[in-house]
Amino acid sequence: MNINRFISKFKISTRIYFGFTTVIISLIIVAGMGYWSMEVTRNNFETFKKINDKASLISKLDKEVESLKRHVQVFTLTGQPGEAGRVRGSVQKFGEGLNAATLILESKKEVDLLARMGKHFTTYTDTFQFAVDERSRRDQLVQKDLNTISARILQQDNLGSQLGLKLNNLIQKSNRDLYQYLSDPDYRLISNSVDKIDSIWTRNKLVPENTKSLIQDYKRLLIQVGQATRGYLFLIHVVMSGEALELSNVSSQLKKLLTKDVEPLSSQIIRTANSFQIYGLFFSVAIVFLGLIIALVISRSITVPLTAMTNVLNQLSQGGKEAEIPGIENDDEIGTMAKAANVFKQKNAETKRLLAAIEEHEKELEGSHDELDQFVYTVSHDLKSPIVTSMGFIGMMKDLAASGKTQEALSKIEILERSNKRMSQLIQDLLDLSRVGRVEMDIVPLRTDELIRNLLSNWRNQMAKRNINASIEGRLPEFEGNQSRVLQVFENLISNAVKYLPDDGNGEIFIGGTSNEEIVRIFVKDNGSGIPEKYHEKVFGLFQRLQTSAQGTGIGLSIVQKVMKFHQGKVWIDSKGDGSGCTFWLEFPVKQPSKCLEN
Amino acid sequence: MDKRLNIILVEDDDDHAELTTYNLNKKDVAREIKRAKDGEEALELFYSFEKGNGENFPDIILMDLNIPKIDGIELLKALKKSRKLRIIPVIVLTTSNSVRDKQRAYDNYANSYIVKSMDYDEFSQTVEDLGVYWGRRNQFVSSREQA
Repeated sequence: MNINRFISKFKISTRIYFGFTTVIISLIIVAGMGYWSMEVTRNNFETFKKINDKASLISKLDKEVESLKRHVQVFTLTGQPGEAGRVRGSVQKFGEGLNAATLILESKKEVDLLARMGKHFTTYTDTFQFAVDERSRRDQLVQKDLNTISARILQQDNLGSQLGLKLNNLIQKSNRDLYQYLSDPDYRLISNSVDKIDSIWTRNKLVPENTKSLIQDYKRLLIQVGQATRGYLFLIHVVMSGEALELSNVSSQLKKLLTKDVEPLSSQIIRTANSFQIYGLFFSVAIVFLGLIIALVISRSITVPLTAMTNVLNQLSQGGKEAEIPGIENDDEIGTMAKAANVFKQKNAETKRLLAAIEEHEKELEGSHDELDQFVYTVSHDLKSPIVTSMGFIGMMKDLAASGKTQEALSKIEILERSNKRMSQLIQDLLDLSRVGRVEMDIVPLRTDELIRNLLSNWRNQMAKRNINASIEGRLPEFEGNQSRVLQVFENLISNAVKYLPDDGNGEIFIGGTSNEEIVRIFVKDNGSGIPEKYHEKVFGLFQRLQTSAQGTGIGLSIVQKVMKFHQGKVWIDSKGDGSGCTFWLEFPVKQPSKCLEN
Repeated sequence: MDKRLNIILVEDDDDHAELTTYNLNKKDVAREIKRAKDGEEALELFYSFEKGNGENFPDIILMDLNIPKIDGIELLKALKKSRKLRIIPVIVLTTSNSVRDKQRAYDNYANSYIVKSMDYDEFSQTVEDLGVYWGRRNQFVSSREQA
């Protein structure tokens, strides 16, 4: 279906509202898309930030573990109680970090890993506490019990000076070795001392029993300190190190778990942003184009027919009636306009037709004015003529009478009489002429044959006088007309023929006719001298006579022509003017149109 | 010297012709009057003078305008076309008093235009004046020719 044809089914206002609505909806869609893409980006960013927060928290925990390990190391080496306090500070910080992490971790795996971290941490701190206790117990053994026993052994005087000196040396060396062991725990230092004690002092019969038991106690204390030191070191180096290792292991797992989402998330964010950028651009451009196309189509669908309509209206305003009116079949405002313009077009055509009719009427009127002028001129001229004659001859008669020529004067009376008769005839004929078509004339079917035969019989006497023979050939066809006027036509034609025929006995008049369904033709023919072709038109003019000798007013043929015109018929002459006679042809319609009572 | 005129009278109306002739003769204006009854006769007469040897050459032509077959204006045109005949003064003598006829007559070089008066004395006087004027003029012209 033609797009323009389709569009023209909608009103212009509907089209404009449609265009606006489309543009507004498009704008809302574009705005919605922008909002949605920003929303997605924001969510992605929030997720990203959360991961980041978690990761940094875990890193902080790691850092606390490292600092804890350092403090533990220092404490192990120095045994200073201040270090233990610092360790406790780190433990507290780690605990806080752990609590914070518990709050923001979500997935079960993360929480499990965090719980493991907590467990290892607890073990670590418990073990540390235990190690601290162990160390303080050992220190107590060394500083209190061992020193007491050493002092008691060194106070023994029941030994010889030589033996006493030996024992003294042994104890002092053992104590020295023990202190060395404490700073560098090589157990051989302890075991050597114990072996010496065993081999020399416990089985020597020279040593009194009470001294032996003191030495035995001393030996037991040495072993106890060695064992305490080894346990404490085991805790520090094996248990706590293991836990610390586990802690960093779990924390690195946790970190791995957390950061494993970061890479896909960031690439997804970039992908989403890219696709939003592309689709957003594409969609915006598409909507702008769509809007443009819709605007173009709608505006063209309005402006194109409007321009065409303006042109047509311009043409119409200049009276054009040929203008093709576009869009007359449309259902929109243009269609309504076109229909109105069409009315103007028809009016223009009608006006043109009326103007043409008026012009024709004016021409006719002008023609009849000219005719009237001609009539008045001719009448005044020809009416004057007999007056000039009469007045002239009266004057002449006076002249003649005055000079005594009475007889000659009287002889002019005949001329006077003839002149006056002619005057009266002129007036009568003019009256007749002016009446044709002016007075109401009845139209009736004419029995032509009978009428003309009667007319001819009236002429019989006059024709006989001039030796003229008249005859009717066949039966004359019948037609409709005004009886008296038609008779006048024949009367004039017969009278004309009689007037101009010579009276040498050869003069003849024939009347005859033919007819078909529409017209009747009747001729009046004589065998006189005829009328030369150049006068065929002229003889129908008013007062036109070809011969001066013959009587007549020169009005007869004018009357004939006027009557024929009135009957919608015509008259013409068939003659060469060379003596071969003259034929007047009359043509009448068989039926008269109904308007013949006009005028 | 004979002041009378050779006159051609172009007039279809017998009565008018008689009236004019009577007055011309009464005032002794005419030496000879030749009459033409219609346009054709008039033309024939004119051409006979054109071809002729100049004997009895007309001094003036009195002419009615409304005459059968060939009307007066056409005759005027024919006269003024001929080198020989154009010198003959043509006096239009008619019953028509219309401006249009006068205009047409003078446009075609008629020498004078006289309306036939319905008053007999006036008519008579006009004919006499006409004879006197054109007679004197002819005398003047021929005396100049002799000189």
